[in-house]
Amino acid sequence: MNIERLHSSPEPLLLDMLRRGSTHAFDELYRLYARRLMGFCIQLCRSREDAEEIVQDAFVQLWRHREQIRQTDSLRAFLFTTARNKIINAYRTLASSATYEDYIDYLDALGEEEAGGRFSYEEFVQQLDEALGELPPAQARILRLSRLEDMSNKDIASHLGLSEQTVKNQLSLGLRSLRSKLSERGYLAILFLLSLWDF
Amino acid sequence: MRNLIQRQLRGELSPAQLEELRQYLEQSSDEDLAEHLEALWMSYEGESELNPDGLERLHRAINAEQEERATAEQLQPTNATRPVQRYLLWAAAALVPLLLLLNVYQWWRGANYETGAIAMTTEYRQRSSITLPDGSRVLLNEHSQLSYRPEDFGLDKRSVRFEGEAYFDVASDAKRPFVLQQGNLSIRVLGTRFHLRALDNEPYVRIDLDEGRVALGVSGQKEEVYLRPQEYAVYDKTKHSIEVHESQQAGSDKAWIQGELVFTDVPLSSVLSAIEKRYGVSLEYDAQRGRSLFTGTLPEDNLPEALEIVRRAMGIEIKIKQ
Repeated sequence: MNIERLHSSPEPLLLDMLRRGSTHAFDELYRLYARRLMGFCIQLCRSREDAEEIVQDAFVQLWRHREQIRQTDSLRAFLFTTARNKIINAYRTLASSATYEDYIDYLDALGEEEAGGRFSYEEFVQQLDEALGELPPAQARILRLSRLEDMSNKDIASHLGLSEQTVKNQLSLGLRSLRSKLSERGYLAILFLLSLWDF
Repeated sequence: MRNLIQRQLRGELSPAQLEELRQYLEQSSDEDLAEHLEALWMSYEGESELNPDGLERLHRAINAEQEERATAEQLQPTNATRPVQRYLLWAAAALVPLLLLLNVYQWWRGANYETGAIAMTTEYRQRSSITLPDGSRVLLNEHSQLSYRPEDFGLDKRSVRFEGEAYFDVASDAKRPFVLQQGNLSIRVLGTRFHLRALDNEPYVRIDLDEGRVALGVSGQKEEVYLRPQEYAVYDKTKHSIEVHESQQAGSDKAWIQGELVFTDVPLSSVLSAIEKRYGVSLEYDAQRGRSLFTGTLPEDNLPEALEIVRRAMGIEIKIKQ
């Protein structure tokens, strides 16, 4: 039997079908590209939730602007264009976040030899969140504002309607109990990180 | 700079390098940053698992977004705009069981008291069957809109406007001609069944007549063109000309009415013979693969697409015998 061999990429055909409104082609392109975009976005913003949102939005835009795709466009480039602003925002947000800085410090403290057992950024955030969740709510709240959102004691005081001295007291109490929660969990490296948190 | 971003992506950034990265990000414009990120993306080869219902959520998001925009357009005030009334109509599951999305719905809009138009719209992947006040039935394909003004759909005439693709089964009533306006083209109908495809992004409008008789007219031109059963007419939107052809049986545009071909664990040989039957073609493929099982949904109105899906799903070559 004489069978024609098709080695060319299906992308041009799928894009052409997409331009003409084919939902099958759209789903197929999603299957071809969404995993890769997801991988890229997770690495960029270190949050599955944010990455999912970016990926979904990119494909919503792809469908919306399907008629503007030109014959010569690659879908890869087109997807980046649709997601560009969100990707940039996510990246800037991550790089400037205090928690991410803590995480980098934590990795640095772990050193090379323990590289295998280290937390991913998401796990790190989760561990910190869980430990904070075990503290009295007022203390946890002040710790978050102070460290994770980088607010000054004075700003926290006016934000919560407390005196600055109360904020200071709560912070040192909160830090002390956070240390003991983390050492109960055996997270010495995170504990080390907290020594950087002395005010 | 790209180096730093690359290290960051790999999770190999030292505290000092993070500081450096932050300084760079503060100084650089979004354009610069986008250029670096795009270059990294274009050569990125990693993958991450998706949420299993990701595609379904995506479809929902697309529908929601389109609905939002459609509503925003409807709400553009002309003079005095009243709130849009919207009723969920029938669940479409009974009408179009083969649709991938089950949350298909329709809404009537008492759009705007200024024009008083009532519109029925289908979105991405929605189809619906409508019954008009005179008993005429319309099956709308996705991305279509049928609208009429109640005062123009009554005792002496039946006028509707239409964009998109639909099958019309118009109730016979010689005293009240049914007139369908599509851009510059008007279609005058007595009692008939026909298929109409008039998509925004296509230069032609096509009407396939099954039964009865329709008269086609172009605004500004006196002559009408009559269409008989088993003929179809093509209207050229730019030249404003109408051509009439004999219908061919296979590959008709109106196959979507029957929906899609759905297979669950069906041997490839049966899948391909279903395609052959549906499209009136003869296919060649490696017969040794005939017993492999295929699961998927194929369009009934697009042979290249149907074949491409099977090719990709099964990793098999399929050729149409000439």
